[in-house]
Amino acid sequence: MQRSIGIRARALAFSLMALSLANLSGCGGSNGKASNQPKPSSGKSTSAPATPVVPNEAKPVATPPVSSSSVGAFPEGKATTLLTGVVRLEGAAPERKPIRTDNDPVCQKMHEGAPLLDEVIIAGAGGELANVLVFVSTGLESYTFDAPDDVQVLDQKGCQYVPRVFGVMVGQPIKIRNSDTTIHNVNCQASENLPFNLSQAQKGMETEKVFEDPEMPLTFKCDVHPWMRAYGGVFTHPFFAVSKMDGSFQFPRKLIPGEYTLTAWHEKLGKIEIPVSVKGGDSHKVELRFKNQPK
Amino acid sequence: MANLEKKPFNPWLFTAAGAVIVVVLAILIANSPDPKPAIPVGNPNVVPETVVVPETTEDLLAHGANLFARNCATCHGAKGAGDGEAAYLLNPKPRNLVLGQYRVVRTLNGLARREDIYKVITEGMPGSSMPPWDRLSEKDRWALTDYTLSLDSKREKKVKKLGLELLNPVAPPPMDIAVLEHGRSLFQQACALCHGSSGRGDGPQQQFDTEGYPTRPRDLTLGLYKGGGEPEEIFRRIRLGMPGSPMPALGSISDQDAWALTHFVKSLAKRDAQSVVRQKYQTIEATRASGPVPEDPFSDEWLRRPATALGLMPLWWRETRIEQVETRCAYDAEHLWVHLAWDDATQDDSQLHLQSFSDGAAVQLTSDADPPLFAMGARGSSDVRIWFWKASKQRDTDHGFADIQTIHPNMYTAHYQHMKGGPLAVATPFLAEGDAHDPRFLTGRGAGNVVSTPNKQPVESLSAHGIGTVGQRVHNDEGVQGRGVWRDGRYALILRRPLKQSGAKALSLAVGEQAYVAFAVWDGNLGDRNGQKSVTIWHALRLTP
Ligand code: HEC
Ligand code: HEC
Repeated sequence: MQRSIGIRARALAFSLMALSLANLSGCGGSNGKASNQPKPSSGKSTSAPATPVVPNEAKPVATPPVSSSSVGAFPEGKATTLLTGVVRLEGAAPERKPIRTDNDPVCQKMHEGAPLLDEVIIAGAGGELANVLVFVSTGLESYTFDAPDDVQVLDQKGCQYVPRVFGVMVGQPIKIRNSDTTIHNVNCQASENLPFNLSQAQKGMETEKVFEDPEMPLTFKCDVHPWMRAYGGVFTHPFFAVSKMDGSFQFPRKLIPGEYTLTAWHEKLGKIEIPVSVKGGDSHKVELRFKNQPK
Repeated sequence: MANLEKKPFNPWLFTAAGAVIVVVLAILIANSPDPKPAIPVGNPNVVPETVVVPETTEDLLAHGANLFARNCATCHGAKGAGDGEAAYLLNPKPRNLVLGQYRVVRTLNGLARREDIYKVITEGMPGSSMPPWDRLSEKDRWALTDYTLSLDSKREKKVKKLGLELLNPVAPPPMDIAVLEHGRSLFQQACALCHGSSGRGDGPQQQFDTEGYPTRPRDLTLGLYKGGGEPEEIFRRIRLGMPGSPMPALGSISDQDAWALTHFVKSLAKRDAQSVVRQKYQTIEATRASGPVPEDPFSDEWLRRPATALGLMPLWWRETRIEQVETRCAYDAEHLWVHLAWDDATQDDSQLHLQSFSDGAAVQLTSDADPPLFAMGARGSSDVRIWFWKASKQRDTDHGFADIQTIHPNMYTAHYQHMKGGPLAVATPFLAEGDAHDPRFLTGRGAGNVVSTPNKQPVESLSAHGIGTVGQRVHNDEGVQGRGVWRDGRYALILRRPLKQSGAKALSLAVGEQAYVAFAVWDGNLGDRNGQKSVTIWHALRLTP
C-alpha cells in the first residue's frame, strides 16, 4: 500500500515535470552547459595516499546530491573492475556480552542455553570486522542506475534483526518480516525519507517499504526489545556491500576505471573515507582499518 | 429568471472544459503543499463546520510568526526547536517542530495535514502542558498552523512527493461481547508488551521517543488521549501510531480487528476522563454581591453559587494530580472576590522539614486585551499580577510564625550573634518579630525586605513579565487579602482585591469590562514548589452588571 502511494506520487510529479519541460523547450532555453561533474578518469592519474580519516562517531554521511543536468546511464560495457576488500579492526576487539532478554519470555526461551550476544562490534581473532557498510560516496555522480527488483528482506528472527546492516537502492523494495512468535515494532528513524514505526504483532507478518531518497544511515529500532537495532543505507547506485564475518566485502557489479571515494561506515566505530583509483583490470582490492577507541 | 437563457448542450465544449479542469486540478494538487482540508470523518467537534480556511499567504505566515513568538516560543523555543526557556519545567518536552514529526496525524504516511496541526493547536494535547488555543480566533490558529508547518524545511518537498492520503476509518462494527473479547485477545498479542496486560501502561520495557526523552506507554485505564477520545480518533492512533513515539502503527490487520481493539481500549477507560482533562477556554462571570460577602470560604452562601470548573495541567505531567479547580467570583462597589475550591487529600501547611512543601494557589490577572503567555506572562508585555496564597503562610497567620525552632525547640543553645542582648539571650525566639533581633545581623529583615520578614498575612502580591521575572510588589500595593481553609480533603480559598487602583501601572476593573485570569495550584504532598505546579490557561473574567 505504502509503495503504491509513493509510485503514484512520483508518476504525477514526473508527468508535471514533462509538462513544464515541454513548455521550456518551446522557448529554446536549453541548459546545455558543459558538465562540471567529476569525469571517470582516463586511468593515468596517480593514486592518492590512502590515509583514512577516522572521526570516531557514527555520524550521518551525506550522500552528494545527483545533479540532473548531465547524467546518463552507467556505461555497463566499460565496467571492468570488481572492487573487493577486507575490513579490519586494529587493537583488541571488545568481548561480546550476553544480552538480558527476560523482559520478553518468548525471546528468553529462544535463547535458553546460548544467550544472545551483543552485536555492536563483531570482530574475528585477526580483527576481521563484520557489519561494515562500504560504499562509493563520490565518483558516480554522472550516472543513473535502475533500481533492482530484488527485494531486500529485513527479518526479525530470534529477537534480532537479520541482517543488522544492509544497503538498498532508492526505489528498491524492502520487505520487513516478523519470523518470531512475539510482537516487534519496527521504528525507522529517517530524516531524508519518511520515518515510520509499524508493529508486526504476529509471526509471518510482512510489510513492504520503499525509500525514495538517498540516506545514510537509517536506523531501525524495536521499542519492545531495546537491544534490537538495524542500520540501512539508501543509495542512488548499486556500489555498496556489507562486510561479512571474515571482514570481506565485494561490490555486486563492476566499476569503470576512475577516481572514487570509498566510505566505510560502522555503527559504533564511525566512518572511514579513502580515495580509490580504479585503473582497469579485473579486480581492485582495498583494505580498510578501523581503530577501536573506546569512549 | 428572465435573463436565464437556455443554451443548446454542446458535449464537445463540456468535455474540453472537463479536460482543462482535470489538468488544472492536477497542477493544483501537485502544487499546493496541502490539499484543501476536508471535514474529518465522524467527529463534528474537530473542526467547526463554519471554518473558513484561509489561503496560506506570506501575510498569514508573518502573522503566524508574530503569534508564535508571543504564545509558543517560551515552550517551543524562538525557532521552534523545542528548547524554550520553560522547556526544563515541562515533561513531556515541547515538540521540536523543526523535525516536522507529529504524534497526532491522520495520513497513511505520517505527514501531518494542515487540519491535524490546526486541531492540536485548537484542542491542545491532554496529558501534557501543550495548551489549547481556542481563545484565539480561527484565523490566528490557521496562521499558527501554517507557521508551525513552515518550520520544517523539508516538508514541502515531501508533501509534493508523497502526498497526504488520509486513512478513512470504515464504519465501526456493532459492539458486543464477542467483539470485545476478540479485542482483548488482540490486545494481549499486539499491545500488552508495552501497555501491560491490563492496559495500565506498565509493560516491562523502558521507552524513549525519537529525540531520546523517556516516555511511557499510556495507562489506558485513565481514558486520557492526546489525539482525542472519539472512537474514530482512537482507531486512527491504533492504525497509524503516534510518529516520533514508540507507539507503532498497526498496519497489517483488518479494519474489523482495529475496531475490536478500539472498542476494547475504550472499555478499559474511566468514563468522561477526557472531558475533565481537556482544557477549554471559558468565561467566568463575576456577579454583583447583594449584601456583605461572607468571609468563611466554606460558608454555604459561597458554595451555593454556581461554579466554573477549570481543568488543571501539571507542567511536569503526572497521573496523580489535582484535576480541577472550581471558581466563583463576585464583586461589590469596592472589591473583587475570587473564591477557589479544589480537592487535596492531604493538608501540607508546613515547609520546615527539608522534604516538606506547602500547598498553595495563585490567581494570575491581566487586563491586556491580547494577554501574554499564561505561564508568568512574557517579556516585553505588560506585567501580569499574581496573588499567591500559601497554606504555610495561612498557618503562620492563624497560629503564629513557625520557624525551624518550632520543630527543633532546643536549637538555640549555642552562640547566636543576631539576638539582641547578646549571643546567649536564647530565650527570645525568632517568632518575636524583628525586635528581638539585631538588624545588623539580619540585614534583610533590618532593611524591611518582605521576603525576610515573618508573614502577617497569607497572600503575597507578585508581578511578572516572563518566566524567571517574578517579583514581589512591595507592601502589597495590590491590596490583596485572603483566607484559605482545608477541611476533609478539600481546600476553599477567598481572595479579595480592590476594584480600583491608582498609579502608573494600575490595573482597575470595571463592571462590564473583561480581564483574563489563570490559576495555579501547588500540591505540597507531591513535592510541588515554584515552577512545579498545575496550571490553567487564561480564561475570561467578566464583571456582569
Ligand atoms: C506551556 C508550554 C507550551 C506552549 C506555550 C505551547 N506548547 Fe505546543 N507543545 C508543548 C508540549 C509539552 C508538547 C508535546 C506534548 C506531548 O508530546 O505529549 C507540544 C506539542 C506541540 C505540537 C505537536 C503536536 C503533535 O501532534 O505532535 C504542536 C504542533 C505544537 N505544540 C504547537 C504549538 C503552538 C503553535 C503553540 C503556540 C500557539 C504552542 N504549541 C504552545 C508545550 C507547549
Ligand atoms: C512499542 C510499544 C507500544 C506498543 C506495541 C503499543 N503502544 Fe500504544 N502507546 C505507546 C506509547 C509509548 C504511547 C504514548 C505516546 C505519547 O504519549 O507520546 C502509546 C499511546 C497509546 C494510546 C493513546 C493515544 C492518544 O491519543 O493519546 C492508545 C489508545 C494506545 N497507545 C493504544 C495501543 C494499542 C491498542 C496497541 C496495540 C494494538 C498499542 N497501543 C501498542 C507504546 C506502544
